[in-house]
Amino acid sequence: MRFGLKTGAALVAALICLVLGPVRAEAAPDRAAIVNGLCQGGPGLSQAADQLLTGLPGATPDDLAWANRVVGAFAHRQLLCSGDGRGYLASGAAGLDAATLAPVALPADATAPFPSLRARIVLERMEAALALVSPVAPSATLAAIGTLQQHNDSVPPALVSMAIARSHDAQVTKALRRFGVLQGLHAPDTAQRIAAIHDLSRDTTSDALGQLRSLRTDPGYAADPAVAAALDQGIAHVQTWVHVGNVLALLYNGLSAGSILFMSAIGLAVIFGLMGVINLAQGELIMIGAYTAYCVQQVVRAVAPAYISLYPILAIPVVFLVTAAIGIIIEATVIRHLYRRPLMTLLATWGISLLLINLVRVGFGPQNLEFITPSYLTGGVSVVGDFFVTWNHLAAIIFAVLAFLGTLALLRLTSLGLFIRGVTQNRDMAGCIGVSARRIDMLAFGFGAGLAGLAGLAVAPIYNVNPSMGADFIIDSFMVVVLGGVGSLVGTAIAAFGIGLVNVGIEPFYGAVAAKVIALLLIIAIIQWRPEGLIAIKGRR
Amino acid sequence: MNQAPANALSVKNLLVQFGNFTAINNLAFTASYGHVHAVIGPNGAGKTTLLDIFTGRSKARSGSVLLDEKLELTRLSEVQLALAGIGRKFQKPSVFEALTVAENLDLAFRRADRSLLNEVFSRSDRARSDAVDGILQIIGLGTQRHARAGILSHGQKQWLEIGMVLVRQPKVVLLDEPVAGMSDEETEQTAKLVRSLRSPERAIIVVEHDMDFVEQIADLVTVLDQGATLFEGDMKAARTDPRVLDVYIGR
Amino acid sequence: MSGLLNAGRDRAARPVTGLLLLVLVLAPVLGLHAIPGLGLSIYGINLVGQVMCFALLAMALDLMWGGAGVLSLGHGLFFAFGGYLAAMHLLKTAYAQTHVLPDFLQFMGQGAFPGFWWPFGSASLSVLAIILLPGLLAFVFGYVSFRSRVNGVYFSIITQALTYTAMLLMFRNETGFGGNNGMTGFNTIAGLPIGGTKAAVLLTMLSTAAVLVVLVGGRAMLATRFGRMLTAIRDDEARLRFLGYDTLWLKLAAWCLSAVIAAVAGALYVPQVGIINPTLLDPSLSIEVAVWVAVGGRGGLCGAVIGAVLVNTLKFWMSAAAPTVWPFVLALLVLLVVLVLPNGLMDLSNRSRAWMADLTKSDAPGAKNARRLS
Repeated sequence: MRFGLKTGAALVAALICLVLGPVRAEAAPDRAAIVNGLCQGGPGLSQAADQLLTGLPGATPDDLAWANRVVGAFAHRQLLCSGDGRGYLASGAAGLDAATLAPVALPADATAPFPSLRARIVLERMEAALALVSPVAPSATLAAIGTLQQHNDSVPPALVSMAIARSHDAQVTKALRRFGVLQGLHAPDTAQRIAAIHDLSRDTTSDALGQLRSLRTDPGYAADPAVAAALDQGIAHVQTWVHVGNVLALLYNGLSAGSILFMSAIGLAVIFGLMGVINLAQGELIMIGAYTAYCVQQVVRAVAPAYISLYPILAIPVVFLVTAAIGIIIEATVIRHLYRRPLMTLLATWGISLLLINLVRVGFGPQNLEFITPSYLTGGVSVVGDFFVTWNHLAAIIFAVLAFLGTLALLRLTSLGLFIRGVTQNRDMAGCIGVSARRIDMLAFGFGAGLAGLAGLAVAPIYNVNPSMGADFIIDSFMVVVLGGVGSLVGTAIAAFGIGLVNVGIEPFYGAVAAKVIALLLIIAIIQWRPEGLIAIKGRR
Repeated sequence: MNQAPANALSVKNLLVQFGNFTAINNLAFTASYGHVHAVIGPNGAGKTTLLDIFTGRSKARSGSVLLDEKLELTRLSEVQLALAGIGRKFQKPSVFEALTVAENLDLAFRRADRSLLNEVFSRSDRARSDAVDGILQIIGLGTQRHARAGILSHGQKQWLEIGMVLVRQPKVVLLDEPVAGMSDEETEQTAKLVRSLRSPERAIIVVEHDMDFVEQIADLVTVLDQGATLFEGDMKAARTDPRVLDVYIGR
Repeated sequence: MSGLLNAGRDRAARPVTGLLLLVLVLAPVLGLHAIPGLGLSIYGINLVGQVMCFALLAMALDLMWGGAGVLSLGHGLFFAFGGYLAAMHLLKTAYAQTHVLPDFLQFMGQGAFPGFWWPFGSASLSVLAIILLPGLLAFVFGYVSFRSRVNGVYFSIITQALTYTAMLLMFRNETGFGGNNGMTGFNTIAGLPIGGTKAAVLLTMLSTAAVLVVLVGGRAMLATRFGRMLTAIRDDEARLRFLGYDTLWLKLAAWCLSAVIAAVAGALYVPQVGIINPTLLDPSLSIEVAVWVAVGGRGGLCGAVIGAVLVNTLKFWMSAAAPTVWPFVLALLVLLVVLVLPNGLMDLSNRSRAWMADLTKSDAPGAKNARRLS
């Protein structure tokens, strides 16, 4: 199908070239006629504009400079017209002939015509057309395209082609292409229309799909079987890719929501999953991670403002170390006394979370913090259909994957990981073979706390950062760890992605709250089926 | 002892797996009324797993366990198994520490012919108090009757738990390492206790590491290795059997 | 040690019961200014009533936690459930008198009460609903959780998640119970205008009586065979199961009873504060209830009452006097109790006794006498 479309398009393009060829070869704009039209006003003005637009493709740079000058003068009421319809440009005491730019004496009756409201619209059109082909900033070109589209003006296709040829900016080129296609859709010529339909179907977005579908209702199109066939084919093609894009977008959004969930749960997976400690202050460690990132940002802004965009990278080690240190303090002062009393740990860590929230509230105030988003985290790239990969979400996914791999590597490959697993599986036995359970507990808790801090860094650009933000994470994180299977990092990852996908999938239809409710019910149902979570650590109880 | 005693438990083709690990491999095993049957073997031989199967703590992949040659046990829940007449003393003494010794035994007197609701609302009757008094005599904790179980010594807790198993007259008594952590004197007393429990209405299965203790109490010894029977006979023979020696000394 | 603790608990039972009886008698006397010159403001009476509701809620939690070792961090759910049901009844009553629909229904564009509100026009049906519906919810949730052996901290977390989800649900206007703003605009209760002295005295007496009934009845229940079964579950649930008790039903019975008590507490609470909104479903309220119980000491229901009364009195006083300091005080109180007094204030009394004994022992000659005195 794609092949057919391509050859068809090529054929039609060749046809267009054939038709438009002579127009291209035609000489430069008729300066005298244009000036005459400008001076006449009314219908003459429109004619002048048409002449200018058809003439522009064949214009030399000199022509362009002239046109810009004259139109500019007209816009600023510096084009003086005499009674006989000739135009002059004021240049000091003397004047220039507007058509030839030759110095002449200004006639006595030369006055600047006052552009009426209608004239202003025509003027805008001319200015926009000139902007398309003149060397101006990309933003100005985009604005010009917008103006032309807004008035639904017909612009000679050759003008668009010329603009495309001159464009150096990808975004501008894309906008121009699209503009050209939209022009073509309403062209009187069948071949041109079909070509435009093909061109439009190459843009597989739901936007294009909507435009193509709207053409179906146009009786003029239904009358021509060739156009109708091209249209149906185009719609089918775009539809397929829009579907593909939607599925990919769902997966991507699920992945990014899941990666946020995973980041907030990974610290808990270590602290709760491996150590069996119920840390209700985990959300507050995330909060402190975000606040630490904020502090790093403020310091960089004060010390080296030029490098402000690098602060998230600089913040990674700082955030990890600060939250890990806080975690170690919590472990050493409170948790260590409670390893055999899990329900009391629950209350104690709640007390700690209350303490942390209020300390931060006193220190920073209750308001949301403002974060700078570095330029490399804004925007994104369109992939297929409406599937748009945004850099900030991609960064969150990559961050989560790295955290996952790093934690996995630490636990599986290093001796610290071996000790952590040893101590958490059999505290007494590990003590017997000379592993200092006390130190390992402290390090493991610190590690889990540090991971929570990194989660704070990851969510800082996406969520509201304030002292009570931790509450939003803690329950979701626990659900992820319980669902994934306590003690299994892989299970945590799968569960996070699954819950993320469920949330993203349900949210557009029933809202965020319903998504949460359904996710919770699903978790309770799954726990019925697999009480030990998705990935159970197998063995004798 | 002219006629062969009836089988209380008969295990056939039992297979138990945890993931890829085979804990019990195609095991055949019988326990008879009137006997004390010891199950020994190195760590990981599947001894405790076997008791877990009898009490419903673990589930078998395949095979059958029959009580009195008619009741299939592998599909019953823990509670159903207990009510069917299987009683177990765990390796780690598990008694209700906040309750008194008498209250522990009183709760353990769970009559299989009563629904849970009836049991909840049942008043203390003669049969129950007699049973509790009798067991207190047997396990020698009569003077501690109103003491909280939490303050008993380790050995006393073990005896209390044995008493809790016995009080409702189970058909099969499972004792998982009853003398672990006991002093020599306590072990001696426990051996006496277990020997005194032998009765034609009960089969007793003991899992134990202490060979001298086993020799004192057991009528029959089964040596398990890697989830299968390695040897069956009396303890004297077991001590000289080359395969058994290999398993115990070879590693 | 544990015997000592229980002795401490039992020592507290009589004074607590006596004090509650005193409150029950004094509430009408002081509230209605029966004795000239000796009177309590409506605010004071109301406060006593609210604290009694919290004590009831704390006992409900203690029944499960101290009784069966199952810690719910979601009792706010049942409390709020009872509260919402009571509010529905009060709104129906108000409508019957004023014929003005509650704001939130008008806001949602409803011309009348939704159909399922019909039972709440009747007081007796409402009472039935307050007992049955939370009980049913507890049954379904408890059955599902206990059946799959969700235990210990897992159970605590799942109850917390459930409460949190319920809060999110109730915050939505579309759920139909006033959303963010909740339900308010009550008119009368039992014919007495809400906010008036008589209603306040009545509600305070009802709440105190409920505390008394649950305290005495609950302690009696814990002393029965059923209570011993719960204790056995707390100590070693698996052992009890291997003795032939299906612990699912035992736990479920205690759980449903506990939920109903919490719901009744909520139903008594809402007319006293005159409003219900989803903040009652905030997970931290549910955790706070566990803190009250931990402060007072678990297991005998007395500790729950003492803890709830002390912490809430402190909270009412501090929230007015030094609102920013209160969270710190609460946090430190929690840490203190968890780390130093694992059995709450009961520990304090026992420890102080032990310290006194130590002190007196050190000065040798008088030791024996001093000990006898203590």
